Order: sequence, then C-alpha cells, then structure tokens
Amino acid sequence: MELVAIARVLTRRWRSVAAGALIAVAIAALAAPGAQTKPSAVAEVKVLVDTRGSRTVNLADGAEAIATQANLLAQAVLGDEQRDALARAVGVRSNDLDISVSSTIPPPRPSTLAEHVAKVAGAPVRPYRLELIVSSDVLIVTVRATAPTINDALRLSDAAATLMNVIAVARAPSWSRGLVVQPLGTVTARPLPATGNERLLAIAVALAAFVLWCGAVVVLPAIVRLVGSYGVPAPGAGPSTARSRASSSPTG
Amino acid sequence: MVASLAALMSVYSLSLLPPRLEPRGLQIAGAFTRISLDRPRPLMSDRLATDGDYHTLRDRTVLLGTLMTSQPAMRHIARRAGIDANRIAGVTRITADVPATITEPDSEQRANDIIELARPYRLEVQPDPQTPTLLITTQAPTVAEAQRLADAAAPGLEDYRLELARRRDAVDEPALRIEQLGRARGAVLNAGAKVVIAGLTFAFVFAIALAGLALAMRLRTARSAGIGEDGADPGEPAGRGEAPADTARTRGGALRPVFDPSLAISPAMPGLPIAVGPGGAVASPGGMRVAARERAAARGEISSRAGDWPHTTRVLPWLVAIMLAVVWLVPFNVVTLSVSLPIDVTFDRLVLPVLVAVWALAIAAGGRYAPRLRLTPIHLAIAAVVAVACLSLVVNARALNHALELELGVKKLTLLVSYLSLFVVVASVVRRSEVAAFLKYTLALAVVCALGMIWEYRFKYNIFYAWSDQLLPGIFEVGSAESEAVDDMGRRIVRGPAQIPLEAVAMMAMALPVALVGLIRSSRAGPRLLYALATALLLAATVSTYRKSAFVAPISVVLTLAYFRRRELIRLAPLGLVILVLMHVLSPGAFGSIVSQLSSDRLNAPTVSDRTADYDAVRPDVWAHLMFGRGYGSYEHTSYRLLDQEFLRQLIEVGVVGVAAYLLMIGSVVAVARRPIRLRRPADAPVALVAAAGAVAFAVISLLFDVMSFPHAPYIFLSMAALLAAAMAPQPRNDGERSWSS
Repeated sequence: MELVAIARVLTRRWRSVAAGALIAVAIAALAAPGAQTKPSAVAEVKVLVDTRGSRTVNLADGAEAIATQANLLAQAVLGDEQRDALARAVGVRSNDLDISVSSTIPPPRPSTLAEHVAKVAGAPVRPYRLELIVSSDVLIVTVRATAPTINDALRLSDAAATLMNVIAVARAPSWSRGLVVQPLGTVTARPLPATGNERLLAIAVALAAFVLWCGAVVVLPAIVRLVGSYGVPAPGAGPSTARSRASSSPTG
Repeated sequence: MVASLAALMSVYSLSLLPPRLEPRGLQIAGAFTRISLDRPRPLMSDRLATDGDYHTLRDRTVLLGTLMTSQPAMRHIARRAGIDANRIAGVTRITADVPATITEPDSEQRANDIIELARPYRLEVQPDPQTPTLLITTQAPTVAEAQRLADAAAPGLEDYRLELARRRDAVDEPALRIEQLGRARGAVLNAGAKVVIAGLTFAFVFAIALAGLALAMRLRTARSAGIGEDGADPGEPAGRGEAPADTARTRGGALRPVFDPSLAISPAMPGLPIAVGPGGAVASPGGMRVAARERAAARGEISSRAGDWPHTTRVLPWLVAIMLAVVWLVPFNVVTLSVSLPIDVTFDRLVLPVLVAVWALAIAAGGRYAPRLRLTPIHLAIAAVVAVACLSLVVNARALNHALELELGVKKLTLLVSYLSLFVVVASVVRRSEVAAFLKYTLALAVVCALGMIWEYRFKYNIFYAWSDQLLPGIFEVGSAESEAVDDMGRRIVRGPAQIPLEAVAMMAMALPVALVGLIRSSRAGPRLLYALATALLLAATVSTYRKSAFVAPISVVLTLAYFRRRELIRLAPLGLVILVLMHVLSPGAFGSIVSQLSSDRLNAPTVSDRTADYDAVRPDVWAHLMFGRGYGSYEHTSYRLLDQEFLRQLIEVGVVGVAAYLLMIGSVVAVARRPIRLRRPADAPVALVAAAGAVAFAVISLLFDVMSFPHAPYIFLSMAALLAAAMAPQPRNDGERSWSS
C-alpha cells in the first residue's frame, strides 16, 4: 500500500522523474567510455631455486634453508639497482615499474600505520608491474608481469627470472656452493582485454542515480513542507495553525 | 550558519590579531621500505647455509630492529633524515609467533604509546618472522619527509652500529651487512580527511542546532497554544488543526500524548479500550468529545486490524519481517559481496538500506498507511547514544586523524546508525495491534535458530552457514563455521548464525523472555505446552555453546521476570524442572560441562584472567580521555587489546558520558516498560515484560563481551525495544492525519 502512495507521488511529478531519467542516461553515456580501461597483458613464469647439483635429484645436496633463500632472492629484486636493470631490459623508465613481493605465508599482525601505508603507498599504480610470489614450502617463485603489451609483459617476466639468477650467482660464496634459478617451462602470456564489467558498472551507476533522483523527488518536497510547518504562526492564529498546514495539505 | 562555521573552524585555524585563516596541518603521509640483513659472506645464495644459521640471523635482526628505535639509534636516524629526534616516535613491533594475548600492550606500554602518539613523526620497525629483514614504515606531515625518514633508517642503523663498534674497539671485526631493498615509497595516507572532519563537525552541530530549534519551536507553540485554548469554544467541533484524540494539553497548554492507565473496556465495543473518566463516566463536554473520538478511533482500529500484519498488503511490515528473519537465521556478518567496493558489504547492509529507503519514501509520500513517527523516551535515549558517539569523534577528530583511526571511527559510527535505524523503522512501522504478532514471529525465528544450534551441537553441522552458502547466489561469499573446532580451552565452538558462541548466547537469552512471558500468560494447556517446549529449546541451545555466560544471561532474564511476576513464576516451578530435564535431553552433556567450568579450580582460566587483565591495561586510555573517550569505534582490538566487555570498550571510546548514554539506552527500555508491567494491561504488559527482561539480559551480556561489535545482538535488542515503543505509542487517528507529508 505504501508503494502505491509513492507511485502516486512519482506519477504526479512525472516531469521531474523524466528529467531524472534523462540525467541518468547522460551519466551512463558519460561514464561508459571513461570506464573502459586500456587493454593490458600478463605474463607468468615459475622459477625453481635449486642447488647446482640439483637438490631435487640429489637428496644429499643439503641446502636445508633454501626456502628462506628463495624468499630472500625474490626480495633482492626490490633493490634500486635491480629495478633499474629490469627497466632497462624492458626499455621503460624506472619510475614506470612497480615491483612487489608477496608471500603465501600469513603476514604478522600489521599496525594501523603499516596497514595504511601498504594499502596506499604500496598499491600498484604504474603501467608496468612485477609481482614475485614466494612460498614457505615450495622452492618455486612465481614471476608475474603485467604490462601494456604482451611483448613487454614477456620481456619483463623473462628479465626478472634472469635477474634472480644473476643475483644468485653474484651472491654465491663460490661457483659450486651457489644456488641457481631456472625457469620451469616457458613463459605464458595472455592479454587482459577490457571486459564488459565497465559498461555494466556505468549502467549500475546510472540506475543508482535515477533511484536517488526519484527518492529526492518524493522526499525533498516533504522536507520543505515540514520545515515550512514550523513557521511562526500568524498573529491571532490558533495554536496549531502551523502544524495543520502540513497535515491539511494533500498527501503526496 | 553555526554548523558551517564550526565545520570551517575544524579544518582552519582562525586568528583575530592579525585576522587570518590558516589551514590546520591535517595531512598525514607515510612511506615504507625494507632492510635486509646478511652475513659479510652472504648466506643468500650459499647451499651450505642451514636453518640454524638463519635462525641466528633472524634473532640478530630482531635485536637490531629493537635497538633501532632506542634513543641512541634514533639520534643517528634523525640526523640522517634532518629531523629533530625529539619529534620522532620510534616503535618496534613484536612479530614472534606467540598468542596474541601475550603481545597485547599492558598499561605501561599503552601509557608510553599515548605519549609517543603526540609526536608528528613516527618510525615503525617490524621484523619479518620468516626472513632476516625489517619492514620500515614511517609517518610524517609530508610525503617527502616520510620518505626521507624511511630512507634514513638503514644508514642511521649502520651509523649506530659503527658507533658501537668504535666504542668497543671492534671496527675491523666482521659485521652484519645492512642493505636497503629499494628507495622508500610514500603517499598521502589520509586524502579526504579534511572533508570527513568538516562533514562530521557540520553534521553534528547541525543536528544539535536543529534539535535545539525544534525544541524551542515546540515550547513556543505550546505557549501559544495555551493562549489560544483560553479563547476557544469547548463545544466547537474538532477541526483539522486540533490535537489528535490521543493527546491532551498540559497545564501550560502543551500537547502531550496520553498514556492513560485507566483505559477500560467499553460496553459498546467489548475488548476495545476507550477512555473513561476517573469515576467511570464521561462527565465534561471535553470528556464527551474525547470519548466519542476514542470510539471512532476504536472503530478505525477494527477496520485497521483487518490490515494488520501478517494479514496485510502493506509492504513495510513484510520488509521488517524479512529483516528480522535475516537477523535470526542468516550469518549475515560473514556473508559478503565478492565485489571490490570501498566498504565491506555484508548481507544486512543490503537488506536494511532497502527497508530504510522504502520507509523514508513512504513517510514522505504520506497516505493513511504511511509509517508514523512517534517520539518515546527510548528514542531520546538512543539519540543520546548517537550524539555522544558523534561528539566523541568530533572532539578527538584531529588526534584520531593523526593516529589514522578517524576513518575507522566514522565507519563504526555508520554501523551504529544502521543499528539504530532499525529501531526507528520498526517503532514507526509496526502498529500497536501488530506487536503481539511480531513477538510470536520473533519467538518462532528464535526457536528455528535454537533447533539449528542444537543440530550443530549434536551433528557438528552448521545449517545456517551451510545453507546460506548453498542458497545465496555466487556473488556472495559465506564464511566457514568450523563446527568441529574447539577453542583454547577445548570447548566446542557452537555458534548458530552468529559469529561467535557468546553472540549466540546473547540471541537466545534475549528471545527467552518471549517464551517465558508466553508461558506465564497462557492459561490453556496447548499453548502452555508449546511455550514450555520453546523455552526448553532456547535453553538447550544456549547451553550447547559450552559458555559460562549460557548460565549467567538466562538467569538474569529469569530474575527480571521474577522481580515483576514472582507469583506466576513460582507457580511454574514444577514445569521448570521438566524444562531442565528436557534441556538436558536436547543437549546432553553441555549442562554438566558448563557446571564443571564453574568449579573453583577452573575459574582462573584464560577467559577469566584475560578479562581481569583488561582492567589494569586500559587505565591509561581511560584516564587520557575520561569524559568523551578517545573516539567512538576507534579502539580496534587487532591494534590494541581484545576487550571482553562492552562497558569497558564504551568507557575507552566514548568516556564516562558515553557509558552513561549507553546505560540510559538500556535503562530507558526498562523505565518505559515498568508502568505497563505494573498496570498489567493485556495489550502492552507482555511486550513490556519481554523488552524489560531483554534489556536486562543485554546489560548483563554487555558485561560479558563486546556485544556491540557483533551485530546480531544489538539488532535483536533494538527490535524488541522498538516493539515496546510501538506498543506504547498513542493510538493512531482514523482519518489518516499525519504529522508531515509531501
């Protein structure tokens, strides 16, 4: 029954509703092209951190701390020199490249500050992104690169895998005691085309705008009348004149 | 104007000599970087490195991380960053794999933290529990300064190490390699804080000013009404502008609702209340008019009862019923939309806005079926809770902004408003004649909930979580219940649709009065049997949670009912024994398990000692902001302590004034309920008893855990309070006249 009353008000104010519909359509039209994102590509390769004699085939090859070392090798890519090297390999500016290391290990309880900083300052905003995903159990690091084109993404992931091996060799105490980083298979790449979600989002925004507009069409006049009903009564008028203005007006 | 000025002053500082308006320094920036530590001959790529080597290295990293925020090291870092060392707060966080309760700050730590928080620069060091690395996070007024401070951490630490080495004449000894992993990245952390602070201040001051103006207008109108009435003809027929039938004029002429206890049964309309005079006759002309109007209202009530829920086509009562079903049967707090949005959209946040929107539109559209806003003391008490919560945020806005907790406080305030909006909606939508039906409906939902909990207890299967997962579309993510899990004390975790077992206890305890009052009131065997069965089910579900609170909360309900209806309860004592046996049959073993937890040798369990430890630990927070607290919703348990008491949380967040408002909210329900309970009016005494007992249970539960952090319980408490408010409201007029319409 309440819906009937609301519908009556909207029917009576059909001009305002129609104006709202036009505005909503305009919003959808404006939002849709802007919502489309640039197509990008992602390339992914898994690398195995291993000993020269291959710990996977020779059980006596030790390297009991290799999981920690794999994690540290991935983190070493975060350094400035390494970032510059990667940027050079892809042919972009260093400032256009985001590098992050994420872990499958649950992080310790962050502080409010650390949480905020990680969310805002650590958010990937640059066109070229490199993400290294490490695990506490498996000696495999996933290298995931996102770039505007497939070729760039492939180059970036390839360069990152090579760089990790370069770091491993450079930091080794000797050739035989050093670790090696070798890709597991070839790099896979796929484009990330703009999906239809943006268009749906634009329609949703327009719909929400229209619903809010209709709500305002019903509510705002009521508020105006309510505020008016608290006006000062005319001299000599009865006590409830002001109030009765609100109640005597046709509902809706 | 006042609100705009207050909002402006909250973000700008005004000086008169010379006249100047300067923006306040509200910007907070942050930066982060990582520091890696290794041996002089790196272990990173050495296959002979062992776990023991890394264990040692991690220990040294933790040591260096802790030393890093000591005064001598901070001096070096400050010098490198070009910042006064006294303006930097240094904190090293503990990340060892120990229970959270061990790392919770005690009173000394908190006192120190509160002092440190006032400094404009902050350096936080967090050792990584897996690798020998340190996460460096900084805070400063600008991004450049934050980055500079973060970048100074590694060289500052190196300087400090060298100073130590020189002092011990060990410069040439091998030392750890300190390497910064990339330049610090920074950003502004609180973009939009100015808008939030100004908006919050404006909203608060505007609301207070509006309330003050409305009160002033009301008083003025009342005074004018007194003058007008003197000259009016008492026999004149009632016009459109006159007071409604259920209002009277006070001595000063003010309109006030009549809550007349002397409502009697009209001979003409048996079963319906009309107003009669003190002597049983309607003597005066005014009285005649009132009586005639009451009869008309009664006739209207007959016709309107035909449209009472559930026999109604009105949408709003049905939406209220849906919302109540969601509250009782859906684990809505763990059901989230799997869509990336700025806020966490839990299931209730999808249903409640629809209800509130339709309600607001229906009020604005008007008509005889529109909800009626009626002000009761409970409304005022609840408004006080919101006002104090808002005030605490306004007063502490700058400090909270500096601690990056303002956003959290505003989010929690929105949550509080959503709880309370359910109250306002239910109180205005539900008619007095519908209250009994809604109480029965609530009991039915509670019984279904109890059955589900007993099922979970016996078969280790949570139907609420499982069915929500199966029935809801894929766009929703439903949390897991882990019904077979046990807590630190080896107790099963039975939670029903709630998030934690204690929340389920609160739900059952607040439904218990409905069953008990039904039991007290029913005279026929059939209904009595059903109410007894419902009572047994609710109690069985409560004890199935294995929580000591499962005894405390129902006892508080029974004691409250005993206070008001002791003779009736004593008469039910034999039935009570049967219910106890039935309870034991339904949840075998649970009762005994709780009894064993209450034995003296087990009362020093962590659940008890943690609670008692809170009292000392929160002293600095309480004393630092005694009156208005540190800001509503700003005490996040993951950052500070897990508080197991709502009153303690309220004391810290909204201070003494907030606790008083919270108590007022609960007390107002009992206060409003007292009169109908005493008068034993069949129309509203049952709901008054239910609401009063529910309110006492809610107060007791507030002593046992942070009840407002778990939404099921506040929703249930406020919906019951709303039913009481609906029952106590003046009779609606039959002519469809409303207080405001579009």
